[in-house]
Amino acid sequence: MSLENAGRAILLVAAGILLCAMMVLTVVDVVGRYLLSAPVPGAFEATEIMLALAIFAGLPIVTARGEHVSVRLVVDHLPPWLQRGLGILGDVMVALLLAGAAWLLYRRGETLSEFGDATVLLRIPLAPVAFALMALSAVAAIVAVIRVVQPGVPRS
Amino acid sequence: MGLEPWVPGLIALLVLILAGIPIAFAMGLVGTVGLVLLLGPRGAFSIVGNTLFDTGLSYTLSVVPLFILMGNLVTRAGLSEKLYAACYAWLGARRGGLPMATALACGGFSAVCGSSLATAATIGKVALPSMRQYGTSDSLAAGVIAAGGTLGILIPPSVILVIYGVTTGQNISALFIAGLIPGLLGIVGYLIAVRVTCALDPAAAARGPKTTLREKLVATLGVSGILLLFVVVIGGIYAGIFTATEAAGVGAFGALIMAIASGRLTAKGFVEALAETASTTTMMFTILAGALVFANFVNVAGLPAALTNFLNAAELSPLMVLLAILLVYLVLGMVLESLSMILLTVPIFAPIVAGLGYDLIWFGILVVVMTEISLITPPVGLNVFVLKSVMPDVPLGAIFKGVVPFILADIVRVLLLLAVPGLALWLPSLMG
Repeated sequence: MSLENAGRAILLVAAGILLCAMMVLTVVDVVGRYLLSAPVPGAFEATEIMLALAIFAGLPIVTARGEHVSVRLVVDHLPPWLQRGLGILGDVMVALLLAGAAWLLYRRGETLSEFGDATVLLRIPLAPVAFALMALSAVAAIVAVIRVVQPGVPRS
Repeated sequence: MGLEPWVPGLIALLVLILAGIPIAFAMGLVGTVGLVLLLGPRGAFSIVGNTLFDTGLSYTLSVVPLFILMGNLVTRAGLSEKLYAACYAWLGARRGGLPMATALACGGFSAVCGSSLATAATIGKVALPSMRQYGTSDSLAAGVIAAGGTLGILIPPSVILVIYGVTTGQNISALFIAGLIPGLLGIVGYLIAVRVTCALDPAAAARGPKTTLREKLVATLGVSGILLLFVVVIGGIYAGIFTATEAAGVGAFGALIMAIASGRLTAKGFVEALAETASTTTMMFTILAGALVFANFVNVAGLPAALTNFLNAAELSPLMVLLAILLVYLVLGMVLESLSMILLTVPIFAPIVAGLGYDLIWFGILVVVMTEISLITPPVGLNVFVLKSVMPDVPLGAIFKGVVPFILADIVRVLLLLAVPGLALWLPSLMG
């Protein structure tokens, strides 16, 4: 339980810092360009990478809370056992797809590292980014599996 | 002609969505399985893998979390009270004045917040107690907030317009500016809807106490912050000083400063705003990635070609086709949540609409207005449920009843936009 809370806190702090950094970087870039004629070099690239990391950092949290958007129109009128069954089916699919995503990102990371791909201006290597996204997807997949086996998880 | 592969695909998707499987994953699953069947695993996995990686690493899309953050900070800056106070000072003592002030305040809040649900929830918190105190019927009060809140996705900034722009390759700045006049029309339409409701049922709203000119002016000064933020962000886009992403960053930063200056933003509140932004962003991008995979599948499976052939064979006039598409949005909007609806349909419809010679900026505004309507139509009008959570003692039926005059106003607005495309396209045509 405490591991769960610690994990959630770490991911939230990471995502929050990334969002703040994106905001500040944009402001500094704009101010630099208009007032000092000195834009931040590569702000564009850094923003892209921070965005990707922030999105994937949220994946385990959103998955754990069962906050992925779904249509409840029909389901809410079904008998409780069927509702629970469909909920579990949903979590299984989420787990499978997140695991699949992790695998695809791993393969992407391998290709990127093979060719040593990096961003144009800042030369940020892209393979570690893909591996980080893979890790976050994998954690989210594990979270979804835990939801399947753990009874009494919140099903909004 | 055999069964085309997109038909079972669409059916499978519909079944999964109605079974309550998270929409993003239903789209991703059907899309991936379909692509594997059509292209083999190698090609399919390369498409899906690229989609995942490239959707995350997109500079244009970084505008989304930044505008969401701006909205989350603005809702914590106490601006809604000042905004409502100002609208109330000018309109409150008229007949139907409180609900009219509410509609106006919703419009004003939409100018700094890109989300309809947040606008309805935030203005609802300040406007409801006041409307109830001065004898506005629950039905009208709920209706005007639910409907007024929908303006959030039309009056810039708008998260939905960003997503539309990215999906169709249209300029996001131009889309934002195109939303201005239709948004103002929306406010006017809602004001008229309130007046008509009050004329038909004088018991629906009593007048609020009169305010002096001095009170009016003081209250108006209170909204200078919102006005400044709007002028910097949207004015900056209009004048070509900022790209949409830069405007979002500057807007979020401005909102943060205003929230700190208001003395209402605690450290805890700031962390909450960031956490909310993070999870909303993740939810939206999950849907986006799922929808892109699914769109790839239906394209490979030949749905666009089949639709075009069908339309050619049916020999409908372009206007009929457009009306049919808008009707699809009305129906889909009753079941689907807005982002999924737009992401599922726009990649299919936009090429057809463009092929008929229509402007895609104009179409985007039409789609967003249809989406606004979907937010307040039963059975799953999300804004109505937001209201239900703010006022749990009012039955859902009463809220839906209160929304009816505003849906009529929206339909008139769609017809106006269809008749006079310039309402959307004139302002963007003046941009530098």
